[in-house]
Amino acid sequence: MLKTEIYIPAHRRDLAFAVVIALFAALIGRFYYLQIYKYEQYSAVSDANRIRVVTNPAPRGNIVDRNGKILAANTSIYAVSVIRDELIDEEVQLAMIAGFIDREEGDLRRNLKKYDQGRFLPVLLARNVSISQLSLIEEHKNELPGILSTKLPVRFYPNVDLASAAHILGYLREASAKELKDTEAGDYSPGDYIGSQGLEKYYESRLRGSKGIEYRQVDALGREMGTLADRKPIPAEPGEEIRLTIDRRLQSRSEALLQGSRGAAVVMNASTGEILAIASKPDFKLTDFAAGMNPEKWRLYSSDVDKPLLNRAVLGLYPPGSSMKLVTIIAAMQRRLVDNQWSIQCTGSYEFGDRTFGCWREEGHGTVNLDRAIVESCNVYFYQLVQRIDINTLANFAKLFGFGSPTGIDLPAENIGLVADRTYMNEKYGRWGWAKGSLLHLSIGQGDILVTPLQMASFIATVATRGEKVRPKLVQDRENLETVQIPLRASTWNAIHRLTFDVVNKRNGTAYDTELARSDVRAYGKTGTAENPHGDPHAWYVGFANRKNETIALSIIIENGGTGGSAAAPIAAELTKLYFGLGSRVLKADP
Amino acid sequence: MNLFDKLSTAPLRWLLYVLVLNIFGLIALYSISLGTADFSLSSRFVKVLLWFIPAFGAFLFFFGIPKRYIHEYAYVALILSIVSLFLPYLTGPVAGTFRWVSIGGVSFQPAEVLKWVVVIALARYLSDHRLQLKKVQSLLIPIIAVLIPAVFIAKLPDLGSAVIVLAPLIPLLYWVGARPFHIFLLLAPIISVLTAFNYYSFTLWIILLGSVIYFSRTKLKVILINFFGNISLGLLTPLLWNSLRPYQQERVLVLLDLTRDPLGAGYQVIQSQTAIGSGGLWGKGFGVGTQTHLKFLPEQETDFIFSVIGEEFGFMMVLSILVLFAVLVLSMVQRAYKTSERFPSLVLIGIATLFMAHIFVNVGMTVNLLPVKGLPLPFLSYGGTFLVSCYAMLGLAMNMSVETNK
Repeated sequence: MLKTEIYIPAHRRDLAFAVVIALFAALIGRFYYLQIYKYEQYSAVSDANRIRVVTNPAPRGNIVDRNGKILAANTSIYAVSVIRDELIDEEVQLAMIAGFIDREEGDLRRNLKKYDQGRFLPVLLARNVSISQLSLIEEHKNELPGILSTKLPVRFYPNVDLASAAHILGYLREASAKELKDTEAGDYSPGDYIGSQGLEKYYESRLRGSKGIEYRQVDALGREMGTLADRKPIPAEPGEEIRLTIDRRLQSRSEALLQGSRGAAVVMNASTGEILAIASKPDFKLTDFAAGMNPEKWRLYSSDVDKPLLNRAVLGLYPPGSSMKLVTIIAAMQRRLVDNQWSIQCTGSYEFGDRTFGCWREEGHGTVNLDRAIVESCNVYFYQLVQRIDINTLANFAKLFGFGSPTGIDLPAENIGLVADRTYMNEKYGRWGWAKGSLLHLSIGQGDILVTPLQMASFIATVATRGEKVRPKLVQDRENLETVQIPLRASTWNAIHRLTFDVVNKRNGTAYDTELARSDVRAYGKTGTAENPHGDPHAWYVGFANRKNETIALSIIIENGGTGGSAAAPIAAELTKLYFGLGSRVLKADP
Repeated sequence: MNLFDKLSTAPLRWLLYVLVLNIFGLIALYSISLGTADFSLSSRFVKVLLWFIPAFGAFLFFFGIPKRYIHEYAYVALILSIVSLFLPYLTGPVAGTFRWVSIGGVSFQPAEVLKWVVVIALARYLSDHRLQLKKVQSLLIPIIAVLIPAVFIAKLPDLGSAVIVLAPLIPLLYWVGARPFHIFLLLAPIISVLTAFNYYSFTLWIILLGSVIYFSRTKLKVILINFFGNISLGLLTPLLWNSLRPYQQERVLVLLDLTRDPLGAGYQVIQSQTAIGSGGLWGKGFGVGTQTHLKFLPEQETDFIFSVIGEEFGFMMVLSILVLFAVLVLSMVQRAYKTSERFPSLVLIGIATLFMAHIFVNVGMTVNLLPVKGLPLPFLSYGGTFLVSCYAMLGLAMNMSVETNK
């Protein structure tokens, strides 16, 4: 059988050859297509496979006081992220992680959606993971491909108990959907922090720094196999350190003095506009906001009737009360409507039309001239004086000093307040709806006039410098705008200085302080007691103090604190003494 | 005629080709093992070296054994081989299948041997019987002879090997002079199945089938059986499809649409294509293929070893290896053509077909020309039984190339 011959025609062999060659040609052609024609594309895919792009968040710039003492710094927290493309079983792995870090699976799932940046980039799953929880994850690394542990910088306030400055520092929150889209604002990724309030917001671009980028080689299970020599990492650039004009000692004392009340205090350098202390109470704990907003805490703060989130120093609107009498006097003197000879009889109340306007001292001041009117803060004097003044004249002088317009402080928001002029009154009450009685109220800083404590500080600083109005600032290197000169006659300045000096230095002054009166610091001031519909009057004090070339301006308000002399002036006195280094031993001599 | 005389007349260059291919395979395996730094007896690189001993043994045995014995025991061998397919059912499943017999730590795949035993048996049948090739009925026995083992292998399950067992039938029938029309009829059912999934392609195919049968001017009976037989088969296909195992269905589906399952079978192909494509003209270099060493590439020592070569050594090396393979296969066909004896000529064609099928299916799979079949690449893929089997086939082919009756 084996010997059976076979005859194969050549064309049969040739067809077999042709088939074999065709099959190999198909393979070779396919390899040519992939390796030569599509090389660039597959090379890129291969790189994308093995190279994990890791962004390193930049630590924010520190915020320090004028002497370099730290107010806000950075620390790290641990976080867990996930690269979705590397997950084997999303369901199972998320459940595992939720168990390890003691979170709700639903929360992780929500974060996965919220912070999504595509399949290949790490997505934040949870912040504030403890070391022990993290080590649990590391132990199970093999079962959890695609899960990364990362460090995130967050705000840290080393001296928060000494001076928190919570309102002006402000806090951070996660960048909103709008900010993520807005490329003008900067390159934010989901989960990135952005300054939300205060200086953190105002100086966001300087504080933020820039993210670093690192390339790491990973294997098919997402395990890191080292960095790549041929791809240079871009190191994260920390944000710029910002040096404030705040003096931590003064800030700390301001906060301590306001503790327990609702109110605000502003201390600023009258000649430069540098804010030395700016406090608002009640406030919030910065640490509650350091690593992402806790919704529970947020609810608690925002539902508090005392409004701890409100920065009263720049956003709180108050009737200025008697402090406004200084503006009334200035207006009257500039228009030569008053001199020290002119006097009135204060019986404790004043009949105007069919209404009775009271003085704060019910038994009356008796004969009151300009000096006594300011020093003892007699209302009746002003009720009579203001009748010589037009409402627009009063409003224009108030506006000249910056009331009704922003101070220009470097904070993201401030209230401009309200200064009523004729147009305003006509619009509000109708052409005939308001009588000159409203003017009587305005003359003593009540009614349709509202100011912020910072505006008051700016006003009294302008008085201190005899009309050199500077823009208040919180950061030292902020450019100083050209000083606005308020041209009043020297005699007007002299009179105002003399009167405000007496308020602090005369025994019958509403803000008399023995220690200041005896020291080489020359202190000037005006108390205010602003009636308001919410209970006890607000206690005001505005003033300035100087020694040689150093002049500070102060503005204090205690909501519902009673009289300015008893509640606000002592705070100003203490801050003044602290600033000028006066001991408190002298206090004993006070009778 | 002693072994050395026989060797001197045999095409020794085939052995040289194969040794070169083996060296490429070893280089690739060595590169893969670099990361693990494991060169103990259990590492795959060392295991392959050990498997060379039985492989050369098999080569010498099948080269040296007189052709008449091979012819004589072909049917016995076929029956024994089919029986051996059932051995794994005694020793238990390995990795969920019954492909391997595991005895004393050494695994063995009976299906590997069966592939070429079927070729020998088929060659004997076709050389012993002068078939009335004009009659379609005369093809029945050979068809049944390959279908029975193919079905058993498919049941293991090992769809890839089942297809390989079927592959030599057509070339062998062609080689003994079957009419292309008959081969067309033989292939018709397969095309009917493949086109059955799409209404339009099936309609077109039935029109083509009808025209070819009509113009062949055969008997009415043949026309009717073939025409309506194919239509019924096409209509039954969806039912047959559902009887396939899910992963088998998946493998076929992945070929049709890569993105259907990016992390399953499609994932393997994507990673393999990426490895090959990113290799470029000269490759990424020995031991530095990122797809390979970072484990993106699956089954890199066995099914996807050619992707390792593509990634690390590039198109030039791929071209060299494919040309080497082509020369080997063409050279076997040429020998089959030159041989005056019927049986050796057919065995040569059968073995050439087996090599060709393995190469085309495996390499085609790595570049997404064919579905993932789980077939190894001769002389390159890691696999003990397969290496021995390939050397046995080479021995057989060289044996058949020696003219003994001169």
